[in-house]
Amino acid sequence: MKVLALILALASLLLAAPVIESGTSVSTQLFQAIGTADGGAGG
Amino acid sequence: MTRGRGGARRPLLLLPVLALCIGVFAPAWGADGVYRRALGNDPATLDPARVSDIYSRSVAQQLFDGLVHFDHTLTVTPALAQHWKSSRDGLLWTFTLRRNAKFHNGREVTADDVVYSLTRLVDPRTRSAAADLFLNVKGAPEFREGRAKTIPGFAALDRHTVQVTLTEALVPFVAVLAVGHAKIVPREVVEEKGDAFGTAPVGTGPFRFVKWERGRELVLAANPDYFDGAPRVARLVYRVFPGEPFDTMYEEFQRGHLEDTPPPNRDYRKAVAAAGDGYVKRPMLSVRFYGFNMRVKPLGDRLVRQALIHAIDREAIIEEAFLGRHILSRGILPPGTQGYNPKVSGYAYDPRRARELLAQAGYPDGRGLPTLAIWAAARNDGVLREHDLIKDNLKAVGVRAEFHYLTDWPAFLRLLSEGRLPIFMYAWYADVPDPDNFLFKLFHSQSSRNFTGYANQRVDGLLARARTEPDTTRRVELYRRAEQAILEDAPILPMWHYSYERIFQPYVRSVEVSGLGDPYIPLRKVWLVK
Repeated sequence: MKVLALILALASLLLAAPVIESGTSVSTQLFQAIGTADGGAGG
Repeated sequence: MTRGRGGARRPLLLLPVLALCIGVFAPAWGADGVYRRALGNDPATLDPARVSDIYSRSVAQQLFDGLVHFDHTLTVTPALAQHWKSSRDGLLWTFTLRRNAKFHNGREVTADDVVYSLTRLVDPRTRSAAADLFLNVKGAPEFREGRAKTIPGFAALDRHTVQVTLTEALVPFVAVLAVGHAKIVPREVVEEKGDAFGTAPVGTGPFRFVKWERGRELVLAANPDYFDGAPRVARLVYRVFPGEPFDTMYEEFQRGHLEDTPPPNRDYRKAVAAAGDGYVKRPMLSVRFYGFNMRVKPLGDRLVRQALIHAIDREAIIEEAFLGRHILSRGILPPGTQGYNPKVSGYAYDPRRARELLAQAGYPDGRGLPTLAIWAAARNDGVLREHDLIKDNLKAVGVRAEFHYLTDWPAFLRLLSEGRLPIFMYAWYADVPDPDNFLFKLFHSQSSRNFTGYANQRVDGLLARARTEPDTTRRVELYRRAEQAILEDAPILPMWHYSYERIFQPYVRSVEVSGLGDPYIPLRKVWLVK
């Protein structure tokens, strides 16, 4: 019973976790329309 | 690529490791010495929100920070934001600011500054090229259209916490914040200075602004209070060489008046060989082209534009004027960009086909065609040789051309954006490794950077769909179709893709170069062994 309660408590914690934390890198594959680019004279 | 001690041409993967090793033995003293760099033209502005060229970007990157930035592997890493979190649906983003970050005037950076800076980016009065990247922030479209006074999607929860609410999660929002425009500026200084903020900026970056003598030099000093550690050089001096005269820059480098330089056009091979490990080369996401202003006769005629492209022997120009240093661009997207299509054939050098097209357009042997005016903001030996060759190529099909040089970069940009240059020489450098950076920005009919006046509804549709297409394969296909359609319409004559090339003095250490090239080198990490 205690084990079940513990599992339920952990599960509820996981389900309630609302966020993805920082520190994970962002794959360049995911870039969509984020840049602006720059011009130059082209010498 | 990281350039550490004697590491310029070592295998790529070893280089960051090598740099770390050097870091262990790096001297513990503070900022010392002056780092002098060549700048190929005066910046148009140092206001990060308004930057649109590589000269401005090179300097602004050292003066300002955003919440996050790209490191030399193009990974998003913390800058003014110490950490962040997002809701699982990607619509709510919360950033916690560092507590030790200060502006160059000594004031602490707060969440209000972030809200102000990002709101300012969206404000149409700022005229920022990055404004459209933030239109999925809640309330941003209404603010931009003048229907709201604030953007509720940007909120300061407390002194060090900022929350951003999106209406649509197209990409990880944190990547959008890494673009060079999204720097944090001090409200009171921007409001006090107005447009003059772009000539005497105050940021949070590793270097602070000291002075700018147009056409001569721009001086920055080390910021000893920089949150991530003070720079290792005391001053950065950008020496301005209007018109990008690489040979002159190299001569100054040889005299010991610059710490790095682009290789010269004259005696290129000799200079590179002499530089030894001081020479750095790597592919760069860029395209050099001539733009045809389609609002100007006879350039509105596709047959004429196609004829001009067929008339020019680009391979011979790369070989003869630039010693084969550049990669011929058959299409628009550079190798290494998602969607790059190696099968694009583009336009072969074919003077006979050029004459046929001119005849079809009503200009047999060029008869009736006005002299074409071609404008350039760079003037050096390589460019002059290139223009001689172009002139000869065009003459061979009956087309006369005259070249005009305007090495005052801000003045050149003004004429360009006013649509007053019939044909213009231009280079385009990515700030993110994405095809949108090239195709949407230069060719969508509503883009502020579409200098040719090109408008094709089908292309607009493909580019808009590609922006939001989550499936990589389908997205690549959309960009390839758009690129092919643009090439057929021929609004530009693509010339080549650059490689990043630089020669450093033997006493320069710890230079990190990403695929975005020179403007993004974190100069605070560089140190000198003199």
